[in-house]
Amino acid sequence: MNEMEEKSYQIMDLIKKKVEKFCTDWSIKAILNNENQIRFSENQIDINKNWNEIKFILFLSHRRRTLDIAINDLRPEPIEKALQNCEKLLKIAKLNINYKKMPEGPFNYKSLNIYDANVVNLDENAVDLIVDATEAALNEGASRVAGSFFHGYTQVIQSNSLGLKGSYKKTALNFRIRAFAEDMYATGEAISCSTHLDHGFSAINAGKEAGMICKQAVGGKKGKPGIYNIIIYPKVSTELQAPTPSIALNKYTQKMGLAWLVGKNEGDKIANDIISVWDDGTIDYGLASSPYDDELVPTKKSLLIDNGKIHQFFTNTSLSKKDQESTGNAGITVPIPTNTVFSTGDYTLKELIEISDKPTLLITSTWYTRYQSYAPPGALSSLPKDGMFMIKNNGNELDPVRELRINSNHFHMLEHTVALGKDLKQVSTWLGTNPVFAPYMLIEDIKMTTGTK
Amino acid sequence: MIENDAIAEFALEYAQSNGKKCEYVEVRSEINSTDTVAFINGKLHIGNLPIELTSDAFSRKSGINIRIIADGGMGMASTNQLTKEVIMESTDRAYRNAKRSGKHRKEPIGMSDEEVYEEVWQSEYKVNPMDVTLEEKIQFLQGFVDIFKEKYPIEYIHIFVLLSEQRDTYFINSEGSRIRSHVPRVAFIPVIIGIKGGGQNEQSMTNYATSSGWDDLISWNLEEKVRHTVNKLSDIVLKAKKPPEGEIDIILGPDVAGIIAHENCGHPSEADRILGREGAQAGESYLREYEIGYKIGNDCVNVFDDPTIKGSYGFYLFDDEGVKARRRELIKGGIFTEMLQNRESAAVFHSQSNAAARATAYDREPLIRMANTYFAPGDYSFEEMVEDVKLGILMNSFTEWNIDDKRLQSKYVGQEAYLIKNGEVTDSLVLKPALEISSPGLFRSIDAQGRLENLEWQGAFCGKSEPGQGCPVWTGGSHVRLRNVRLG
Repeated sequence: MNEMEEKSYQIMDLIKKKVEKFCTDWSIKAILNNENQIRFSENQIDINKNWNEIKFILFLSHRRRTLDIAINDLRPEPIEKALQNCEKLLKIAKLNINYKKMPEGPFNYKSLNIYDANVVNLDENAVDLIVDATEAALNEGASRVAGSFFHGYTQVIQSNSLGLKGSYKKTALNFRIRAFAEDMYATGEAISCSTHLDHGFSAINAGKEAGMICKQAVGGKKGKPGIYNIIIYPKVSTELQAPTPSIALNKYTQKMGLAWLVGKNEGDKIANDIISVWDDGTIDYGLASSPYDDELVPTKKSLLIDNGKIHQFFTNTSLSKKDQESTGNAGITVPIPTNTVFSTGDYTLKELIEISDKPTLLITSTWYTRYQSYAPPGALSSLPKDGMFMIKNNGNELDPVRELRINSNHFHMLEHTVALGKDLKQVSTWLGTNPVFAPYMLIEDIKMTTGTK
Repeated sequence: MIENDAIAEFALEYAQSNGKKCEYVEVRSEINSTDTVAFINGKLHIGNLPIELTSDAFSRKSGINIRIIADGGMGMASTNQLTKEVIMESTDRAYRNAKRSGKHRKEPIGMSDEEVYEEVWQSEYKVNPMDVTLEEKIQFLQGFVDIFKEKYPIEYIHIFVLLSEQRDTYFINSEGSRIRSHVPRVAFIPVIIGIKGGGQNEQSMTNYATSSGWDDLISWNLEEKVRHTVNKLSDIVLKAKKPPEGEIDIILGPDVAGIIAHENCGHPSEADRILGREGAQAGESYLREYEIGYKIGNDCVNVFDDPTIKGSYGFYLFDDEGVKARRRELIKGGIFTEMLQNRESAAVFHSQSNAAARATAYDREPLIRMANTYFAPGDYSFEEMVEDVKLGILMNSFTEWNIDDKRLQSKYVGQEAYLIKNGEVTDSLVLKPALEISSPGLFRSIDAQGRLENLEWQGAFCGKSEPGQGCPVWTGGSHVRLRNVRLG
């Protein structure tokens, strides 16, 4: 046991002794992080950061009066004070009808491929990956690049009032590169993420892709507003398609009424038949994979959307229906999504471009998706950020266009998704809720608008 | 805090010992606390919230951030394990990271020359929101929940969030600055969705926020404001009609003026965007193509940012690089006059920092951020603005909005918006008027800014960078008039 683990167990013991006195149920989760981020821009490293931290996430309950608290202050007195405050809060808190109990277990946990010692040892060599990716982007025609590279290691140690215990380690790599041409409005972005250096991760390929997109985007003209088919890159799904399975199919948000699926139930049609989606906390190399959730329930591969129909909402134990098990998505108070995995189709990107029989835009990234309201239908707009292309001549020409805004809602986009790419890519974006495994998608009849002045 | 001070001093000393050749070292020790209580559809919720409202409902944080420049590169290390052994390890790591990064820089990172200060500052308040009992906070929120005991012609989803926080910092650097600060803040965030069957709905999310204490927040007659929102949402859902077509004039209320000042002027004025440092995160700026002195708007356009406004949500007197805060005049007389700068960007531009470096906690690097950004008061009364509008709308509040990453193309969808006809604001509500316009197009359409007496502020959390930092800010203004604009 290293010093960090030793310290974590000591503090967990201290907390446990305190909370046992005033809680009927409790859960303590220690997160030990040694993470790094290198940020770069203008082909240079801007800052190289390291976080070496221990954080404790507590769920506390006294006769179903509940609260959550995060403690990063490791000094004994502030911990004591924070817990005294929690005791007071629980005395005042009202019955939480959404909390019933924690599951008793015992459980068996799968062994997952989420830890790579090479990532832990990457250390200062991470800079070399950035240098190589930068060169790849410049070779494709970019004049400058910016980006960030997260790499690191996390250990999670948990125990709860029912005597369940667990500990696991995972690593993470998340590389994003944005390439800029001389024309500052011609940009391309690509990401690469995994838990392992040698599985689905390539900083160089991300650099190449970003460089190619930015070069193709040179000389883009303002697009014409109208109705288009759009073909979206996998990472665009984090904002346009994944929010339905990762936010609206959360049992808690449905209960709150704060999502566009209010009034929809299992069996209701919300997407085209070709769309199936899973929440999968067990997928190898998934950034949000783990052997168990915050209730120490084993994570699962849970079907959420089955050929266009709602199959189930993801949930924890308390919010599960009587005859339903937890999907392994605790958050004890609010369920949390793990990896959102979309079904695939039969098409390559080239084939998707060929089969679209209406004016079609190829959209490589979006950002700043905002809702008029979370209530149905969840009207939103989203801005294509990097290379966007009008497809011409059956895909033989990609004409760069700019300044168009997507105006739609999630129902419309899921229902009008008419073809899927055949490969999944793991994407975890800055603005997305959780990691997503998505293919290229062809979506019909999307309204695009532009500025009037 | 005092026990953490000693470890911060140790880190600063250690960073400059054992033959380490640092060009600059700073150490920031922080204690951050957050308490969040909410009512969701009338039910008390003490815990984490979904959607973007807040992540850690209750948190207690304490730790140290070390930034080092060595060999022209910058390294940072952050830890909450405040033992000498771990601090030495983190400091060594920051130093190694800086040197390693410096090898790959054509231009070494530098810091502008700034005055050295030894200061203690804090926001002025009577009652620290962190000291207010949970009972009192629940009672405060219950008042808003009770509004929904009355009968309304539509249904509502309602969430009331009360976010109290406190940030205590001790900043020291290798130049001799020693600055201590203490700022408690509190924000009340009502999220209300008015719903009628058939997909008709309207969502409002506002933020009433202060650094002047609990007593300041509860003096604002918030129940009346929330009641107004509830009734207006119902009116909008039931009565609002399509907006007029063709070119019209638009008068923006303080809420909308504030978000525009923030998004279309404040963000693009951030020097790190202009220099490309946020290129892969929050984006760049259309102002990258222009120099200071670029005429971006009409002569009447003045947009400022000021951290020193007492009681403001973005209040501070020294930034997180130890530079004394002052008002920044971003657009003056329609001219791009000043960027928001930290010491790193100021060194590149051979200028001075204007104290825009802010971090939200010990585990975040200070970045160039706004504080309180606003359309500065102009000469027009509201009546004068309205009287020569033949056909237009008054947009008092907004719902959906977004803007591209260069901050050039923006969209603001109006919420409480009224038709103006022949110099009078009518009772006719306009349904979701969408102002979709470029930043220069917008600033060149403004022909009038309202007087000081109509200046209003709204609280907000300004998101930027990765890992994200939601920085407390105010946005504000009085009314602003746009001429000859076509709605999207």
